[in-house]
Amino acid sequence: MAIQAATPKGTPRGATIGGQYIPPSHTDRSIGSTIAGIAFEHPSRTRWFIAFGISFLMTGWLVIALVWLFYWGVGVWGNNIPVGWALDIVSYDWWMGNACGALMVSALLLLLRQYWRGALNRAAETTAVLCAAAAGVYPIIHLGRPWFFYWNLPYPNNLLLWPQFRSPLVWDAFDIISFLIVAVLFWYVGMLPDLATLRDRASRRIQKQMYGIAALGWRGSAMHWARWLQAYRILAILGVLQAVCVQVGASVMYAGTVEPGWHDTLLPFLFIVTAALSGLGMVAVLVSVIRYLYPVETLITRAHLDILGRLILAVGLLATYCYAADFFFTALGGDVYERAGMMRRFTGTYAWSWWLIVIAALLPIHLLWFRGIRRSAFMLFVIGFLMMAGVWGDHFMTLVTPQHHDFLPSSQAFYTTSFWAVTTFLGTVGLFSMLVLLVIRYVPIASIVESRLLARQQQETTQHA
Amino acid sequence: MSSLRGDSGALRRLLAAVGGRPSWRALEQVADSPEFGGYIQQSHPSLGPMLAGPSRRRVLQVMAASLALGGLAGCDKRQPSSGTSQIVPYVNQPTGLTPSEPLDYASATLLDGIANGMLVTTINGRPIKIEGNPQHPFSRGGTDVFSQASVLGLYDPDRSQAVQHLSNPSDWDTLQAAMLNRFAAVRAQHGAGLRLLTGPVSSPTLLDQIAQLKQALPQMHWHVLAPVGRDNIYAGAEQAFGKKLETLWHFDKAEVIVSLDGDFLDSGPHQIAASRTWVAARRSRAVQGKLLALHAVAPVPTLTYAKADYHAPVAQRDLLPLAHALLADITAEQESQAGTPPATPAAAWGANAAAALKAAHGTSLVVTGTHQSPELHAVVHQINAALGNIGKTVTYIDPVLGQAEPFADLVTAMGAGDVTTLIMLDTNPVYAAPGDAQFGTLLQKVSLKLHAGSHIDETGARSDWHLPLSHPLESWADARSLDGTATIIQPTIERLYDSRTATEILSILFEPQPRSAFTIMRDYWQKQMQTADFETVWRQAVQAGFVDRSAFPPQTPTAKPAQPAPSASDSATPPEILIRPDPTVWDGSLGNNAWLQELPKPMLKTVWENVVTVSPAFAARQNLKNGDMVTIELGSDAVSGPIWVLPGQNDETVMLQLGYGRNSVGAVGDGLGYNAYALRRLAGLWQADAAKFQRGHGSRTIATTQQLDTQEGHDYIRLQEIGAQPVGDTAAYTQPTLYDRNDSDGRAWGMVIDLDACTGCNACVVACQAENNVPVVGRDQVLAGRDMHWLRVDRYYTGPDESADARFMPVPCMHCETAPCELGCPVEATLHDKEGLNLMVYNRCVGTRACSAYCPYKVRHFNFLHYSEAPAVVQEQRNPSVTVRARGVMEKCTYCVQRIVAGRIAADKEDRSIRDGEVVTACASACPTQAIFFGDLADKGSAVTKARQDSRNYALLGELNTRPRTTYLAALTPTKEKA
Repeated sequence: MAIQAATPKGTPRGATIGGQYIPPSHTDRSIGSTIAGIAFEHPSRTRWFIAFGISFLMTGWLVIALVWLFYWGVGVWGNNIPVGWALDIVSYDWWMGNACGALMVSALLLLLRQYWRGALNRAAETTAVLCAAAAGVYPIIHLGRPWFFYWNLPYPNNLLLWPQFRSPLVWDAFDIISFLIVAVLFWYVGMLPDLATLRDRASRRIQKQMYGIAALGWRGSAMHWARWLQAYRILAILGVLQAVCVQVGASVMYAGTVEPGWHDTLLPFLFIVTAALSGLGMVAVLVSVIRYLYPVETLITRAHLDILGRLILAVGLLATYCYAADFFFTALGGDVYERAGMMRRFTGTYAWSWWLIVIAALLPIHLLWFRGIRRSAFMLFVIGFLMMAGVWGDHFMTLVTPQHHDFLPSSQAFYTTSFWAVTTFLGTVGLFSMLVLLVIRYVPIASIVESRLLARQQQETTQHA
Repeated sequence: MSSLRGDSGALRRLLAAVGGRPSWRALEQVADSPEFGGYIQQSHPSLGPMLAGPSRRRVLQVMAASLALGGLAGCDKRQPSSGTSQIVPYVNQPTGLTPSEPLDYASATLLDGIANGMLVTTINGRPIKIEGNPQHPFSRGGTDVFSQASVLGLYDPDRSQAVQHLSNPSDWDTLQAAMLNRFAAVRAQHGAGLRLLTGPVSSPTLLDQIAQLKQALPQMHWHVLAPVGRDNIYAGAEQAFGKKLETLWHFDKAEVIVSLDGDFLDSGPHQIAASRTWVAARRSRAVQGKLLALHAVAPVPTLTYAKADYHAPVAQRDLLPLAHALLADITAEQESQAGTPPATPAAAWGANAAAALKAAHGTSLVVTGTHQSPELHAVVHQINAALGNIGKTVTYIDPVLGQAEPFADLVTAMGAGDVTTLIMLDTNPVYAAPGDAQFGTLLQKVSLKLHAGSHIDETGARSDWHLPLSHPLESWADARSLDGTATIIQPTIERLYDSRTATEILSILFEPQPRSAFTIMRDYWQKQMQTADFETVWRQAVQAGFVDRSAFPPQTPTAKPAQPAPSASDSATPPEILIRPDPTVWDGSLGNNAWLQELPKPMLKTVWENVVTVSPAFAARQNLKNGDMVTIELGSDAVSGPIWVLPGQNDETVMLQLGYGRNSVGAVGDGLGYNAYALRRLAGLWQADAAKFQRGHGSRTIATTQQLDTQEGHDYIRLQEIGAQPVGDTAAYTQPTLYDRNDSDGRAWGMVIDLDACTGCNACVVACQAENNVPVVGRDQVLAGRDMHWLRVDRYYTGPDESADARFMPVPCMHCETAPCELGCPVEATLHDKEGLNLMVYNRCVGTRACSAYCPYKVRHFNFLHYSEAPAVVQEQRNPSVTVRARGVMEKCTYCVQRIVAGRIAADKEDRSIRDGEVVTACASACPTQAIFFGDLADKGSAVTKARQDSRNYALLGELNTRPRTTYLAALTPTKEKA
């Protein structure tokens, strides 16, 4: 097979025992039946239904919140002047960061031919697609007149009006759309052989038909594999670029202004790093949940958790470096507004958001120096959750703290959120978790094809040894 | 209204009692019931006879007819007698009126019965904007917040709309019929038992009418209730000169001005003229390289105090001793220099002021304020006399207000039961009388109470008859401005409701054949002018808006020798409680004006309520912070209000403001703040020293438009010392930029704001709101940080709390040449035009709010909710040339682009360029001190170009390379003396 030619150059040491991610007892057949069985048998049904019920209700609330919003206007949120962008854009940036981070990690690992990613990539790509879906709600609903959202896009019209192409917001609109396309394609194309496996293994007619349609006529011919690998890797390259573009684009919405605290060349890089951090955090949470719900311990093993922990630690250290650099640049740079803004970050009304980053993200990563913690699904769940919370704090700090007091003291006003803003955000959480639950119910929760590849690769390595 | 609601409630109960499933038959049962009969009798008496008869068809006929005839209400009902056909446009218009072209009429607005000359802009017959009348000899084109907001008062939906008798609708004919016998009896008794109570009156016509009434009914009494009034001024002049006089200041002849709690820059009928002449004098001194220094002391910082070059806070009780000390110092034979250096800041200030006064004999001016005691006024007159200022920097004229019997006498008479008929004209004594008058209780003893007012207010609700009073913008009337100039008020719209003017009401009550306001006034002036060519003179007067050369002649009375200084006051227990009018809703009569409610108080920056102000040190001592509730008790009266800490206030002084705590003024003003009138006493209106100050329970959040008071070490407001190096610079325009554009069409609009001339009066803010249809958002939205004023006046403090300098900075859109907002907008809804305007295209805006996030000046405002929704009658005020913004749309100052367009069209039609001064923004034209220059920067000869070449010119946040088109001229300060 074409894939077999792609032998990995090496495996990370330390996370595994003798390079073994999954038990050597696993064969193609056992991997296939373990993963397909979950989709067919639907284990942990009660827990799933409880979780789905809650998520469904939260999504329903989102609908109510949006109707209320469309009826009254964005004034139902706490946004004001000067804090015109608040929880709406914080949530958008956060969701989009999660999406970009997850996609970037998954695609990079594919390009680096790390086949152990098979245990994590489905979770990561699902996160990317569904976070982008949750984020995609905001760019439209945060508008004062959401029914004209399409004016942000270049479309031929008899007024010869175009978007204003200097605006980072226009490019952000392009970014979201192209990101969604690439992320969905990456997720779906990577899943094709797995869907075909499910089609082949399905016992009920309806399952055969549905998975058959979804598999797009995959037959496993050599030509299929060759094309598939090509397409998957091209999409991976696009995905990485896209993730970088989206985060840079989002940060230029702030860095492109003259506002103190925003007008900063470090901001794009910081956005990419924090996106990776919260994206990995979300993958960690999702993987822990999948391990908790389903009998996949032999496919998503402690070695996988370990390597995920190492990734989080590395990205977390990078983020720490960014914050430190930001501190020194500002402190030594001498701009009095920047310095005053930094002091407000540390001690102002919204200082909690800065300390949330420190306490929830920058400090807990150091727990991951310990092997035992890295290999504990529960601890990884907790740390992943903290990473997401910390990065949420970062987005809040980046947005609200500079806005509420920029240059003129007379412009200062504080932002207080509102019931509707908070519950809209919770509604998007509900939407995300509802979609996640549907995906893990019906779709192979780990990559069958890449797990098989990993098993074979492990066998070859042991045989060579 | 409540009785009607109660009755319909009874009807509903009746309907419910008819049965589980009411049918049409059930309705008939109800219709036959006595309750229904009673309801009809009470609320629709005219329907009674019809229902009683057999003909239901007749009822239907009437209803059909009323529907059909309803359309006729729109028809022209101009009659020669109403005088509406006699109004004369200000400019020479071609015959007829061009639709949608603005047309100005000279008229006036009133404050405390005193006029300021105005032009009323009407479009399609609707008055929509007030501008100053530049021809008016007293106000000379300036405006104040009250005149600017008066146009909204016309369209107040809560104005009373019909005569009410015992809370039921009635009409003028019924009133006249009912009063016929009643007033015949009064006349037979020569007016015994009849009392007339009015607000302050300067109207020559009305005063003449009252004088004639008193002649006809010698036992009638006329009283005036003036919540603010000028009684202290008159009483002070009486003490000093032996007769009641009005004081006029001539700043142009002064070299130094000393203010002992003076208020010449503060709200009041004098504000427009006084601040204009003061700034003009200050400017002419500045041209000579000198400073027209203002020395001020005050217990509570006022605008006058804030603009002073030397100031110190002084307790109210120390003002009179200080004045006596000044007088003694000035009249002392030799210099008393040898003494010890002054111990307190006030004493240091006093020594400095005395030295300055002595150096400017005959060219100095000492002033005090409307609310100060007659004794202080008298001493100030004596100081001016001692300095030889009388006849030079200060002159006197007869009082412009009619002198009535004191209000206290009315209270006594009512208490004694001597009042049988009380006519209350344009006054609201139940609310605005001092608390110890107990006017509401006394009113019950009067058998016939007539109230004429614009609202069914506290007094109207307790009167037998309430008569709707016409708004000045729909009336023929006259009034005097403070120099005595008789100013003509002509109606600019047909009466919105069936209301009457004060003169008409007196005519209805006392004349066998009631005359119209126009006839009454015209008859008076015909009699007065005694000229053969009356028609021409009259027409000229109406067209110009005032009677030429009608100002009172100046007098130079001789001051009596000063009374000996009172012995040092046996220091009453601090704190001293002062009561002052509110700077925006004034005495409370303007409480239903939403523009004024949302207008930040100039010193406090609070909106929508009154507060209790104390000094920072006082607050620290008592452990109070903004919003903490306190209670002030005087006898059995107590009010509770929230604390507001005011830097620069005297340490032992607590200030309360009038104008709030109303419950029947209307939907806007009800239920806001506390009522300080309860603490007022007939014997002392402005001070409640015996009151007890106590901490109350809890605290409340106060809506404010500016949270931070300091410049945080920056020089947003630059100060230019006289004779020092220029502080202005052009650095903001010399940095390189990537967005350099050269696509100008030859014009470059720009604005320069002179911070030395800005007194912080807020007239520009209200003018902008009126011109540009800026919505009012209400207290909750201001608290949420969503106020909409396109032009705000920032107020910053410098220096220590106890002697803080307050400085004002109006901030409109800067119209940056390299505007950051334009970069942010994804749909190009904000962009530059070729004349340098930063435009806002409302119907392209999708509401991303990016432009506001990108704006370093934060001058943009967003319609977070449906702010432009308003009652239909309020919408009548809106300027048809300015888009009313929908929700979800960003808006900001446009440099009044509609006026620029109008100017451009006018110029294009005549194939010429726009002349300098042809386009004036609403703020610039409203400014009483002409602090705002607007025009074409590309025109080398324009006033704005000259202002920009001033060495004091600088850009706000110019270092950001935004290249703002709005720049500032630094404020002047005295040269720092070497200690």
